[in-house]
Amino acid sequence: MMNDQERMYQEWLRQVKAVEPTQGNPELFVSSLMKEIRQKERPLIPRYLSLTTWLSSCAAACLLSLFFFQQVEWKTIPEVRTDTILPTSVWKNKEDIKREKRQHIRALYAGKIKV
Amino acid sequence: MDEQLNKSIDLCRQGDADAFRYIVDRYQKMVYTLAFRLLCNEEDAEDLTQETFVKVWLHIGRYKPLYRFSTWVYKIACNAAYDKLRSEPTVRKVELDHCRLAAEDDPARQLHNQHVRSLLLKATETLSPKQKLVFVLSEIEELDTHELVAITGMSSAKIKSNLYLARKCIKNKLSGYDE
Repeated sequence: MMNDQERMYQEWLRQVKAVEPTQGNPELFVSSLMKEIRQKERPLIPRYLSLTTWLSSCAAACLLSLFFFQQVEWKTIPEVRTDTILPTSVWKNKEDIKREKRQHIRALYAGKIKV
Repeated sequence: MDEQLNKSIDLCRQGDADAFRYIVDRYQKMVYTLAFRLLCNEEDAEDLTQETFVKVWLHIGRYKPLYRFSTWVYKIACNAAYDKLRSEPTVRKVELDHCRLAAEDDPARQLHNQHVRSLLLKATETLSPKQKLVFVLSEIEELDTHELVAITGMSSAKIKSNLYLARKCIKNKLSGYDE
């Protein structure tokens, strides 16, 4: 036999099942969802740029970085100063580095530097 | 699964937006109802419905017809709802008596939803997110244990124990209200 608690539960459950929540405007929901989806398709491209502008700027950035890294090389050398022992980073041309290396090798062969 | 749905799923995988619109039309009410019953809040339910369908669109390639498509959609919605329930468990209690009627909205619809909301919260507000999820899916949405296992990822024993505790808690709450 069903007790009072069970009867109340069944009655409450019946009421909950009987009423369904109503959605605002399904059509509006679909259109906003489709808009959201279209935005998700191109997440890497900022919305305020057209595809052509975005691609052109990417290409320009690639070319610039290629040119830049062909010309110079990042090198860290210790600064020759007595008041500090911290290394200082400087930009050096590739040719300068090569010349320095050649000088170093010549000095080594001439016996000016002892290993 | 019917032919039209199968065809729409295949087209969706190829990026067909019209096919996706068919899927949204077909499952929108189901997802919104579930979301509302779990979160008891119109705005949260709308957001969760949107989030669910965005995930459906993005990951439809991963769907395997091992289960029904609705089970897969339920799974996505439940995961999102469960995360939300866990992240803000106290918000819903505070808003129980607040009827927020915006001027541009339909007051009749809002009052109806407010009624559904208070009816649900009357008995389920103290349930844990897991208990609430299992209770809504099993007792209100009337899904079978096989589907519940697929959706929640819990074992059938765990589902039964959560359901038992949820029922017990609701019965106590309901009898307490009437005293």
